[in-house]
Amino acid sequence: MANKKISELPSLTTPASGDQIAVVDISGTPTTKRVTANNLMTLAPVQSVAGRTGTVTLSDTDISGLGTAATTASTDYATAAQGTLADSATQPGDNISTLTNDSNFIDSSGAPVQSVAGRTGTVTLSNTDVSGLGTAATLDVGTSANNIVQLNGSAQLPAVDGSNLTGISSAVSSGTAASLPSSPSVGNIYLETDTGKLRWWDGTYWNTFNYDSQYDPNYAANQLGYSGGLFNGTNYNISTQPKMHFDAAILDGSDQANNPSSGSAVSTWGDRSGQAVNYDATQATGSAQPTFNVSGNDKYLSFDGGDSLDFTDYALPTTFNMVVVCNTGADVHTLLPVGTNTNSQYILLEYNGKTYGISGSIVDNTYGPNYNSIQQFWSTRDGSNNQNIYVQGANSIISTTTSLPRTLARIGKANDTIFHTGDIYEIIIWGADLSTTDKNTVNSYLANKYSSLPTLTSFS
Amino acid sequence: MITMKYSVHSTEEEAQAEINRIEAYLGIPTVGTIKYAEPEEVDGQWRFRVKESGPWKCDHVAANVVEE
Repeated sequence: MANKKISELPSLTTPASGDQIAVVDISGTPTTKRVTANNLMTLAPVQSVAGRTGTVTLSDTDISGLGTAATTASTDYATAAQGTLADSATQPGDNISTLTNDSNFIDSSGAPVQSVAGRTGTVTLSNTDVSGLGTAATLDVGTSANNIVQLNGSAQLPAVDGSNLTGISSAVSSGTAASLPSSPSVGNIYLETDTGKLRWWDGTYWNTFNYDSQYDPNYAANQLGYSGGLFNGTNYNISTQPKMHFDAAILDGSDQANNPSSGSAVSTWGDRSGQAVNYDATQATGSAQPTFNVSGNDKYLSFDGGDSLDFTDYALPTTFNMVVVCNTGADVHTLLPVGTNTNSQYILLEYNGKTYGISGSIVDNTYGPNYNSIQQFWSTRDGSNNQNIYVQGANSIISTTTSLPRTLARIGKANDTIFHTGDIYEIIIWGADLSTTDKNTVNSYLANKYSSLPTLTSFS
Repeated sequence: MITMKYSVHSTEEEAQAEINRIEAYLGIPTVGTIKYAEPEEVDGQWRFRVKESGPWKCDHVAANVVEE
């Protein structure tokens, strides 16, 4: 490039990058040096801006580190005057009193609630502050005293002991037969744990659900049946109706459901024979009344040696049969189930180890001489005046012939000072001599009824 | 030999009075039972038997009880 004056520089064409420029170094001894445009550009303090050279126009994206405010319009920001107002405005935490009141503002008198339960300030309520609450409002749910019972999730009552239930018309209790409640209320139910019987008090008697009544088919089927009697067509049916039939299991002679509770004094032992002549046996003197007792399925009357029941005199015909189930108390030797109206006359007596019939006597060392456990006896006389005393079925211990008359009059006592001391379960008397078949049917009936009876020998 | 208890008195009237007292105690008369006992004369004394068990037991309340 030719030398140019400085004044000519503005009109010169743009130098190329390789164009040389003379530079005078004035330090020390002045020297002249050459430099190109490129050399000068490398010496420039800024080589490029935002990666660009030449005429560079910058935007916010070319500049790192800008905040969002950099691109936000200034109109979005408070002015300094507005900021001053904000600084002096009411702030959170300021007392409400800093506000200026006017007619449009509320004060305490205009508050919708002035007080609670007559109190102001920080009010804690209790049940007494609330009117209209029922008594249940202050009770707890639970099963203890004074608790409210709440049904569980299955709508069931919670486990409350049954004894805590009151006002129930039928109280259920349990215990042994000997412990029947002495002062029950009508409708009370009692389970005898030793007999398994369910009993209920009707106001007079403890009735039993062991058999609902004598009309229960299962009960009736096991009764001694005969025409004219309480039962007929049973498993133990005989052809001859007895003259009298005393059965402790049907004490009133009508319905076993009427039996009293065990331990009751007996003023009447009803005749269940169904005969026109009623031989109900009675005792109106308390000190002479036997006691009704229950042991398992067995019912019997206990005679203490001074007890007896009287019935209308019955003059035995020549032929008669009597069967009796009884015993004597331990170490007591007076067995007199049926007495006559005359001293020293018997149709069956065991006294001090000796057994008597209408006539004749024997020391029974086979089945006796005493009969402290339950026994079955027959006293019979046939049309030929043959009188027999049988024990445990058809085992004859006295066999004699006699036509002596006898009139029966009482149970448990002869017409003297001899009393039965022990238990009597059942007495059946016929004014005839039963057939062998019928006698064996009677034995079967008794053996089925009294499980403690010894094995009974059949008549043949 | 079985023994029984008796309430023993000097006269029939005393025995009957004791019976009356016992009847009141036991609630006699009641259904089926019109009296407790009848006095009987034995060896110049009047006595009646007293029950030792059952609903008519009264040997614990009767006067002059002896066992014979």
